[in-house]
Order: sequence, then structure tokens, then C-alpha cells
Amino acid sequence: MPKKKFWENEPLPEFKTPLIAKKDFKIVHNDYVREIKKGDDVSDVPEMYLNNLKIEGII
Amino acid sequence: MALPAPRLIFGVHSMTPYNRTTGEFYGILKVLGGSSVSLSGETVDLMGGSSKYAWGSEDGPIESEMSLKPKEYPNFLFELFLGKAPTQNSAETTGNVSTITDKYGTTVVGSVGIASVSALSGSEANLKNGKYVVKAASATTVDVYYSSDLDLARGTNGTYQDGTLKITASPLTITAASDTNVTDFGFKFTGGAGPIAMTTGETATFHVRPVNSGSMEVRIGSSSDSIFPEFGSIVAAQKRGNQEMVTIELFRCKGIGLPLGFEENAWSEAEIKAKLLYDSAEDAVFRFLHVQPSNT
Repeated sequence: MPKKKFWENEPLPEFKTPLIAKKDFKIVHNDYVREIKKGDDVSDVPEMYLNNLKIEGII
Repeated sequence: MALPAPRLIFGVHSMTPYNRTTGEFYGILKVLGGSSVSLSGETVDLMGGSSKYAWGSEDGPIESEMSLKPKEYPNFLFELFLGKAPTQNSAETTGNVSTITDKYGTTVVGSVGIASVSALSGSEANLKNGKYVVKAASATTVDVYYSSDLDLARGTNGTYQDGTLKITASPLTITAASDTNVTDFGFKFTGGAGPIAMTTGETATFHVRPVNSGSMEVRIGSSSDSIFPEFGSIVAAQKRGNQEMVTIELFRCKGIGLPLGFEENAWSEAEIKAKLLYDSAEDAVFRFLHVQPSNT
């Protein structure tokens, strides 16, 4: 059996469009704390906070 | 014939008010600094001509008054002298967090802010007695302020961040329909349906009672909800070593006002007065009773 190519063994990494913070902000919510600086890529911020970031004008 | 033993009165033992309609006792005051009956009268003198002395004199009115110096504050004192019976709460094994209500503005409480505040399960021991203010620090974050450090060390120690009495090191994020825990203080905020969009600077307030074996609360001052009832009362002097007892039953009393003093390193003592009125059913203002028991 031919050897599988690497991309056939592992799922390809999900590509996320960068979300660049327009200004500083800090999320403090229970165990999740994220200090955001202007220019940071916040695409890894959990989805539950994205609305907040929009309302605050961060993204 | 020998002179009779003098009738002596020493100290104060108790004051017991009762309902004039049913006769039921409100309770008893025993921690008393004093309880005295003042009956001061005047004569109405007839002066005239060049006489420096009165031609005649008749009875004037008698100012009749009871003064009390209680050093305890049972519920009935609020009812009789401040016009409102307190609400006595039963034990709260998980404390109590009151409903959060807007104070300044309208956005902190509701669908675009905080739907509710409640005790955080498992952290109730951290609930600290007092009043809290929640202020929108931005559209989606709040700071929390706490009224006094009186109870700050209950459970997990809380800390003030600055002189504004703020307890949040950084503004807390409120998210739609999810909880934001303030674990060290034993409560949590539940976000409104969202999207969260408070107006910066607006505030809301709520109160917390810690886990307790009971509490009392009374709101004084409502013009539509204050009744100052007339009451009867029985004042007892201290029982003497020879068993001699003196009591005064005052049939119709009316009082208003109860000072609530907080003095440095001193027990609180109030000084209150009640007017003594004529009771037509008893045809008397009061009854003085002295008893010398012949048995112990």
C-alpha cells in the first residue's frame, strides 16, 4: 500500500483570518483573562467574547 | 407602736409594654439604664392688688411622662417608637443576595447588562454583609464597589483596590446569558440576553447578607406606613434583698422617636420618652403597687 502523504494523515490546520485589535482592552471573565494590545491578533479569542469586542470597538 | 418599715425603691428591673386592645405583651426590656415616671404639676395662683402673695391657688395640669434608657433594641421598640414593626427573617443557610436594581441610568440591569445577581454555589461562605454598587466601566465591563470593610475578611479575604471602595482589580466582563463570578465575595452576575451594551458610568446596587442564623430588617419613615400605637406598660424596680417589690402599671402611653447611637467603645444607649395619658376604662393614669411578700 503506498505510504500516505502527510496531509492525508493529519487534518490540515484551520486557517483563521486575523482579527486585529484597534485598541487596548482587557477581558476578565472567570478563569479567562486576556490582555489585548492595539495591533494584537485576537482571532483566537473564544467566540463568546467576539460580540463584546465588537461593541467595544476593538474589532 | 413602732414606726412602720420605710417603703424604699431601688434600681430598675424591667419594663414590659403590652397591647392595650388584647393585653398581650410585646416583650420585655431588661437591659435598662433607667425607667422613671415624671409627674410634675403646677398650681394656678391668683395674684392681685398690692399683695405679694397669692390670694388663692388651685391645681394646674400635671405633666406626666415616662423616660426610658434602654440599652437593648428588641423589635417592639421600633414598632412603638418608630412606627413600624420589623420583619424578622429566618436562618439563611446560603446567605441572601437581593435583587439588583438600577440606581443611575437604566442600562446596567436588563437585557443589555446584568440580568441578575445571585449567590455563587459553593462560595456562599464568602458572602460578605453590606451594600454593593456596580458601575459600568465600559459597554461590556463593570467595576464593583463595597460599602464597608466591616465584613471584608469573611470567608476568603476581600481587598479594596483604592479609596473609592472598589473591589475589582480590573473591570469584569459581562457576557450575554452567562455568569461572571466574583468568587471572593460569594456572588455572580448573570448577563442579560444581550448583546451587552451598557452606558459607561451608569450604576446599579444590591445588598448581601452572609450565611446567617437570622436577621431583622425595618424601613422607617414612610408617611403612609407609620403607626405609633398607644400601649400599656409595667415598670418594675429591682427586687430588694428583703423581697420587697414595687411595680408601676401605666395604662396608656404614647411615644415617638428612638435615637440610635453609635459611640466609640461604648454600648449604645437610647433615651426615649412616652407621654402618660388618662385611661377612661381604668379611670386612672397608672397604678402603683408595693408588695412585701411573706414567703420566699
